[in-house]
Amino acid sequence: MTVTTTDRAGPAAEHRLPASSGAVAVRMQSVRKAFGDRIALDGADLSVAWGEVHALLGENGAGKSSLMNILAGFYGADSGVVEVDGRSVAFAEPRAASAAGIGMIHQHFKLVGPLTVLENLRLACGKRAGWTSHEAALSASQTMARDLGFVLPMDVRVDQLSVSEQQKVEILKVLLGGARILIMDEPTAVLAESEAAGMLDLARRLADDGRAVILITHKLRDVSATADRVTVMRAGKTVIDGASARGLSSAELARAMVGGETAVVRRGAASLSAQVVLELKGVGTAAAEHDVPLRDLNLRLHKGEILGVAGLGGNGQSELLETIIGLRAPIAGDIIMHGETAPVQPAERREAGLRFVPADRFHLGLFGSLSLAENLAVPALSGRRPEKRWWVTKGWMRGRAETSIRDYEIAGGVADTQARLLSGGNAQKLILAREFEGEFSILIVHSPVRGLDVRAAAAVQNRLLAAAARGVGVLMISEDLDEVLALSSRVAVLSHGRLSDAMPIEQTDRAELGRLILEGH
Amino acid sequence: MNGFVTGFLGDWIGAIPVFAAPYLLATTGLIINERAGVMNLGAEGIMSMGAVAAVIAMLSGLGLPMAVLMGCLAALGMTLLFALLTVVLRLEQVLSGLVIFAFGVGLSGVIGDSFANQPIKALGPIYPAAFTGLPRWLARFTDQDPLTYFAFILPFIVWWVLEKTELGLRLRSVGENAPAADAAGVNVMLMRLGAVLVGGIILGLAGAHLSLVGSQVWVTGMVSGRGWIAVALVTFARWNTLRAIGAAVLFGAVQAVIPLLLSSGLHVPIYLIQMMPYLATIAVLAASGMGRLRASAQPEDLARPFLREERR
Repeated sequence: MTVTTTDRAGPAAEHRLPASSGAVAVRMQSVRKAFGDRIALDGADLSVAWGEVHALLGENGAGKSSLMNILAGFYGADSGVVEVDGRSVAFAEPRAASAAGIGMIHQHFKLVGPLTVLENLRLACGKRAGWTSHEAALSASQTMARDLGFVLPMDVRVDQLSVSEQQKVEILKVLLGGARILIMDEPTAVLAESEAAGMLDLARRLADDGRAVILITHKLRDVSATADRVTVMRAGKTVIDGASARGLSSAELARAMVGGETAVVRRGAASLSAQVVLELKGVGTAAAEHDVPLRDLNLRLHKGEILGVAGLGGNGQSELLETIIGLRAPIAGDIIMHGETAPVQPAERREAGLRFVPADRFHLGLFGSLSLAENLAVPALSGRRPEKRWWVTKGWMRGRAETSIRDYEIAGGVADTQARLLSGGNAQKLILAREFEGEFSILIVHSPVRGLDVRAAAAVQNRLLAAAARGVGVLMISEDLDEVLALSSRVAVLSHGRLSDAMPIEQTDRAELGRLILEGH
Repeated sequence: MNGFVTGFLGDWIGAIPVFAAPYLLATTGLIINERAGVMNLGAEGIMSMGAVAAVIAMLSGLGLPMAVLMGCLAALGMTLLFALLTVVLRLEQVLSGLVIFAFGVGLSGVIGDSFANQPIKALGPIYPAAFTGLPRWLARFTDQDPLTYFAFILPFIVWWVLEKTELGLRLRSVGENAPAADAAGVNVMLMRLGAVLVGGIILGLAGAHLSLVGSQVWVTGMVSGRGWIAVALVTFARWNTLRAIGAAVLFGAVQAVIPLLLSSGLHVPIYLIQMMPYLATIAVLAASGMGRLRASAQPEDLARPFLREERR
């Protein structure tokens, strides 16, 4: 595995379509879908041919996933036309869609964690594949895995596999079920760069075999590298309907996607204040199942800097975040905030100016079933409120929420919307709006732009830069090296629970960091 | 020592299977429910219905097989109501369970009122001749009625179905991750419905065992918390029907020692002795709470209603 960028433009992009291609596999027209009073789709069109990789491009919340969930039978459309292979269809359930040869590889994998790989495969397609015995299922699965070039243990519980292995199980599942129309929902979002290139190659190969592949993405690079044609959606509508991917420039696609000027990230000035806001001295955490213990970890976060922590996921990132915010007690070492030993309780650390943005937005971040207004009000309830009011009213919460929704451009919801109905980008903006409230001096963020589209990512990154410019010390834990290089003034590498010394960004480069990330230090 | 074995200890061991069987049946039924992701807190009420219906059938002269069948049918009726609330209407499972508990206990009291405290002909051992050569305590231990035999065979059958068959795979997938099972083409609602109803029938058997084999009479409120203890035993058995055998035998032993202690003339307050099963429940729940065993065995989608178009 390498960290270098694979240059996929040029001759590699000259793909031939097989002779049988060209006929229409999927046609969707004027599709409309509302969840309660939130309109997800209104006037969505899509037309996909056999043998092509068709990119479905759009911002977070543009309706890409909703449209594909309708095609795969998870949601019913309120109105509109859906045709597969020329026949009008309305799938009542996912089973009907997969019987028609439609397979969806979801962004959040639909795998049963405690079951083994083989059990998951048997569950999904045992009946259709006609497997009568354990051995038949095993040999068919292994053959298919070998054909695709996957190395997968069949008897291991799925929740013990890495994310990219789980994705391979999903793909196997869909192909063994006989899918001819493949929907891949942001397949590269969860993968490292080299793995992502392999995944796009696979999409290409599957299309060359005569299948139709729909690639949901918000990465412009995926489109130019792999897709034959592209459909762009904005706010539930199709704005570019099946144009040739090579006929459009990245700038044109980006403009179609965001509907206005593209956002640009501003880079902060690199001057290091002498004041240290957060210091970790020899911190270690207990070893436990599924955890990567931190070992003798030292870190000094200065006022007004962005300190990037690079590294591959699963090297102690979550443990580091949880230790700093107080959810995990270290067994060794000291955590020092503003020159004093940090208080034990997370609430007291918050009171002392610590804020955090976790990687999993709904696990440690938001309350899915509470409204936006309630989510925004929760931290204000325990702390000292500037309003000095002892009671909380709906009006008070809603008033605060409306300001935040406007300032942070949280789309797809009003103050009373449940947080779980938000798309990934808007959920992240909601967390930022809440965490950035009031005075704070230390900000810990983990993978702040994971799964966000271009504009949402830029908005989040600009907020981080603005916070640093105000004097906040920002610790950015990220698995995306580009992001670390773009924003940080200093960078350290986390590997197997150990953190390297922080280096000024000017004194290092992608190659050196890549070596540290892969080989440790 | 020999006298002790043939005396107190022999009586105790010989009584264990009959006391353990209702726990074992109820726990097995509940494990089927919970592995499919449905938490049935109505067990106490469903068992009460099974117990009262079996006695009413016996007192009406329908005979033992019909009495067992009536017990199962009454429990099935109660379970259908529970399934309607939780699986079809997707209401909060805990609340629905409490409703069924209160309704079942209350209804069994009302319809059983005129049949209460009338002894019935017991369901007894079927092969008394087969065990004559054995020591008395062992003969009493092994010589049981068909319902008790069935209670000890059923966990093996259920274990085999859950762990080794396609049907079991689908049932477990629904309990662990309903959206994933749905995406894999499993009919989540049908699966949960089936699991709840089969579990309910087995709960009815547990109730029928209590009244036909155990007490051989209907007394209002006679299930007296066994349904709740079974709910706790599911956790103690870590959702595995084979472990449930051990758990049920342990509680059968605790329950079996009560009448012996009461009749032995020991000067111990009666309430302290009768408290033992509940104290044991607290003890085993505390034991299962220690370590991380509980977290790793509990079905992940337990008590979570499934609606496809709902985002999580």
